[in-house]
Amino acid sequence: MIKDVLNRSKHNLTITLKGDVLSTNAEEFSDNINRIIKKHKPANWDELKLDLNSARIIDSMGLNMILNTVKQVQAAGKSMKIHISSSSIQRVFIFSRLDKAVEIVFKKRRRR
Amino acid sequence: MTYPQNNKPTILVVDDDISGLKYFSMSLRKMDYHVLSATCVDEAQAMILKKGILHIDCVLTDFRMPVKSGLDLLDWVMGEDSSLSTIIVTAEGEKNLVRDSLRSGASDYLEKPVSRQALRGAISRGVERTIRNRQLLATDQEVGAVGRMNQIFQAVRAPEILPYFKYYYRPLYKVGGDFINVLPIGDERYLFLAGDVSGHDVRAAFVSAYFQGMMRGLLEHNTSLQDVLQLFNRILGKEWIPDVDESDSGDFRVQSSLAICAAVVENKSRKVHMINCGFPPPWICYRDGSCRRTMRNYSPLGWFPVEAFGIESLSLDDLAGFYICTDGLTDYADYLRIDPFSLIYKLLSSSDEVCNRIVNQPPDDILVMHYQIDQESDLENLYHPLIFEQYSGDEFKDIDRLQRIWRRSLQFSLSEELGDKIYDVLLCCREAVLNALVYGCDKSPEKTCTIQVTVNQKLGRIRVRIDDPGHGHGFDITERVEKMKALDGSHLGLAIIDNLCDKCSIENDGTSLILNSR
Repeated sequence: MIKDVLNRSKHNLTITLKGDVLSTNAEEFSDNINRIIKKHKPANWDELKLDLNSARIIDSMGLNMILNTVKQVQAAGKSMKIHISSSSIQRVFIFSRLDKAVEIVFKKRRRR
Repeated sequence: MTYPQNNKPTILVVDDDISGLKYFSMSLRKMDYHVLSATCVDEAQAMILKKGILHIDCVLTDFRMPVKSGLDLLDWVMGEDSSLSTIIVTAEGEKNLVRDSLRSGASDYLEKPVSRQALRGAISRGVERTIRNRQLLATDQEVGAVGRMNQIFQAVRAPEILPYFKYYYRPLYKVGGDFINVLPIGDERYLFLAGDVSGHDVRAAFVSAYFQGMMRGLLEHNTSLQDVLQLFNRILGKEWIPDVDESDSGDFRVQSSLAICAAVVENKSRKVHMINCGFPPPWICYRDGSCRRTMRNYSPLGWFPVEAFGIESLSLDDLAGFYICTDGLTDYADYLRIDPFSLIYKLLSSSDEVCNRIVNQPPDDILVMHYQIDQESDLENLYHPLIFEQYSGDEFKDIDRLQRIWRRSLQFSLSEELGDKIYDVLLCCREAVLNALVYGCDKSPEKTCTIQVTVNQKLGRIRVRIDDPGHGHGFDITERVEKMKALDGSHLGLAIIDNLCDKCSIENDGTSLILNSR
């Protein structure tokens, strides 16, 4: 599931992905992200917030998809933040140096 | 339990209305019952206690009486002997009362005015029900006695191996055909025997007891395991089948069958001999935490003639231990949608109270045993399997489902111990299994890969091993991972595995991947 919200006053676009980003859904997520980016004109936003707070695992295919999104946004001259709450995902982002390419906002999930 | 020998069934009539009491008493005497009468609940209770509740065959009580009602008497009777039928007499149209009475255990009710015909029918049914209930109770008590006798057979008769032996047994009923025996059978030789007779009744318990006794006797007198199995296979397939010519060499007619799994451990020769007839193939575990299933597996005894049973002999020096379980355990693991090893681990490492919570209303007997051969290490210091699964190459499409099974299994067996680390382990398993299915097995349904996840409690270490039939890579893993860090998105899987684990190594030119994760 994917949701998008454009905040015109703050000039940011938030895309929220529900669930893990995996080999089995990465392509679908990628298509949807591309569709959303095309839908909102570049003049309306300067920053993309990718909300992955509900994800606990991102596998290599998922990581590739996110990497492509980062490259696409940077090529358009926009900034990007990725919001996560899984320490496993944080470790993957750090070792893959994605945290050097884009701002990672980590907020640990509260245990229920 | 003894029962009163009374030719006439005894009915206790309770009614504060004297005319009603007389009507019921006279009517029942005319129907050839022995009748006792009381005008209130207290008097009825005293009468039952004096006479003995087993001497009463049915209670007929009016509902509305001063001080205590018919329902009060019913409650008391149910507490004393729930097999005794109690019939409540109500006024016309008291439907709520009727419903409450039946819910509280009344066998029947009669609405006033009560005709002789209705009275005759209700009392006759009530007496029959009491007799039937008491017979069932007696049978149940006898079955319980047989079950207790069964437990005596199942004792571990070799106290010296107790520190290295763990088992869990949860029978479906008080008596049944599953059993575990651990017996010394000679000079530092021990027999580990697990059995599962078809059925869950006294007959199954009889077959089970017969076999256990015969097996013990023959093995103590040096008969080989193969010969004992051959003999019992013939007994079940021929001798116990009515109207079958025992000399006929034709196929068996299956009436009663016995699944057995036996292991004879010989400490002097450092060997273990294993044979399995009808159990899920036992698991052999090695010191490095890897495991495999035994190769010598036959159908249950009594199904088919077998020319010669073969034994699988293994050196004790390489082994850490072995696990034997019934299909009741694997079925229950399927029901919980977890790997059987996770269930085994939990059952063998938890208190009885926790085990009983886990195994709530199992559909079959559940039995599992573990013998630790590596006696130099204490139990906590060994690697115990949590997941052992085999997948065909075309299952790569089901990777999400497989991952759910791993997650449930790890959460079930290790509860909160892993914390968020569980997602690191799951991600490593996913990457490695996907790689094994897609490249090692070429997505082919003919090729298979295995995943084994083991835990070492003392070190707090999870070890994952994935094997596939591919040709491997033959590269230096550290060098390869360094090259991958160029963030170009290629070959990230191995880099993820290497970074999330404390140690990642490749064996057999890359076809076996071993991950350690603290």
